[in-house]
Amino acid sequence: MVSPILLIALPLFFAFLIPLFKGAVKSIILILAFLINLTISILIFPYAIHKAIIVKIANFLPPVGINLFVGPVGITLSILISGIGLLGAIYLLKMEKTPPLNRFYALYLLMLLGATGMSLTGDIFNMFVFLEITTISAYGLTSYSKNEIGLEAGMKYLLIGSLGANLVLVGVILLYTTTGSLNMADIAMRINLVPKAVLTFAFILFFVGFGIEAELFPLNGWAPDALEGAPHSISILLSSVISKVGLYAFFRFIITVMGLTNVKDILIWFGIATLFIGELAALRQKSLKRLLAYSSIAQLGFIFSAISVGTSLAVRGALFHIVNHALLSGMMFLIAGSIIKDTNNWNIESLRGLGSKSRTLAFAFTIGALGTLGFPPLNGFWSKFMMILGMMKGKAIIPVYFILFASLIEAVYYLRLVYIVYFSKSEQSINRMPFAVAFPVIVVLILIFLLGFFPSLMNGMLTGGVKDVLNRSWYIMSVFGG
Amino acid sequence: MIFYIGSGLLIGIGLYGMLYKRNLIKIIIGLDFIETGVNILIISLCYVKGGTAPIFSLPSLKPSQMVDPLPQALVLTAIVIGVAVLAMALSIVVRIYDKRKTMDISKLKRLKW
Repeated sequence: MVSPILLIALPLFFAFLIPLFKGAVKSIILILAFLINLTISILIFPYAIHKAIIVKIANFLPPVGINLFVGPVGITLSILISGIGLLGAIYLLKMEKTPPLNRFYALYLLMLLGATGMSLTGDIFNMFVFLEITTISAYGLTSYSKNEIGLEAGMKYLLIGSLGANLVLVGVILLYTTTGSLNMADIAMRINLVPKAVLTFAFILFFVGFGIEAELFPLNGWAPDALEGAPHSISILLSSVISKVGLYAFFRFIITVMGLTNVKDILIWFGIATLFIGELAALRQKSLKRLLAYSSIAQLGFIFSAISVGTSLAVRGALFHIVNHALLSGMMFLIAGSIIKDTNNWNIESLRGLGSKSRTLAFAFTIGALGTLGFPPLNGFWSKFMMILGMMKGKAIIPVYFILFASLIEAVYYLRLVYIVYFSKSEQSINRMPFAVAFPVIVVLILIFLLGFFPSLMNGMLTGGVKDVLNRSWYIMSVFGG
Repeated sequence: MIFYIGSGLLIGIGLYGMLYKRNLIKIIIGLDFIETGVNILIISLCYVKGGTAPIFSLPSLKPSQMVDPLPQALVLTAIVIGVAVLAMALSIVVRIYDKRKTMDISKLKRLKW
């Protein structure tokens, strides 16, 4: 079997190789790097979903050395990151022309490398370092296009993000001084040594630090700006994978490392607030990308509250929705980016007449909207159904009311978009769809239909993933027992 | 104890700078204060008065006199990351000044809810 450490080492190597090349070679290297990563992830996947793979770096045993924990959730996120990274890299060929492109490609690889590292690491300080790698590259990429929106969004993201990362660092060091270890499984074993007050303080620090990455309600002021102002290809990644990785890191710290189950009720309401305010804000947006950004934030809030409820069915649905939402929102941003580039109009009016100009894009956009709404038999239906059923089993009835009401608001603005796509005429011309746009859209469409008609394909990963998220003793056993 | 107070003060000043100042450069200085404060906090949490480096081959050295070296390694990493963030922030400020001819954050409000 291939060693999972290559998932982190190879992109790092390629990222610093790319600036040396000019011309078409750099694009080839970028696509090659993601192809290799995707292949390795898929090769490891069947092993990792049954039994977590522990990689001991330099063969120092876990409590002392740094280890990677390649569990079911980690490897799924890694497949998502490299897969969407690959589609984004193909999309980049047509969409991003501003020089210096080789530095852009290097940052692009570094950002996704950091995200892969965050989803695979088993060490809390390592988590901080990968968080910083991801976010620093993301600041650079957000402000890359050098227009006013991008620069302003990048500045905002930088100030909030690095403040949050510093808080995470303080939290990490508090856990270290009270338990004497940086290894996640080791801390999980000794969490009883930590005084109650310190644990609460560390919880707040991690909540703020990772909540910023996961786009939680009071902390997500940067998210719509960054998703709107970033280059189109970067918006895809920020909304579909980077935020998911932040969510994963948060729950890894709260559930596995700190074993907090009594904060459940507070976290559910934070998720609901994110969902509700996201939907309300999306309703009154005029800018297409900003509307999609708020919708994406709302879905993250839904996933967040489902994991907080903590019944196995809800977590199962949430993990499924992480995959589904990555595909759906990635595709929506991809289409939005290409339309905005063609019409040079950031408003939702740019969708006018799409139905008669480009049937494929209009169809894909409709499927994306209906899938996010949870329209059967698309993939979003199964995951939302599982999450709501799981929340009702977990006796969280009032949050379910809020979620259903928020879905109604969501239906209003998405169906309005679909109406604009098909039923309003305009004279704008949309160019023929280039391969770099058509290929990613069609691949994602196929995946959406596949998961929609055969949701049982995900069963193995979801069963493993629920164990990975909820079962602390299984986590500790996998690191030390085998 | 003086280290805790000092680092707490630095973090407090930094937060004040980030929240109440309008000039982008001052806000970034505030961010840097916070980073420095956090670094000092980390070092002082594991500081032993009169302690020395943990060299286990010296027979006269008792474990209670040894300073934990791990936080110092962590701080080294954190300092490098801080430098990177600072450089990134300043370069974005330069670009903003090029475009808008202002560094006042209250004038940058194209992006609102």
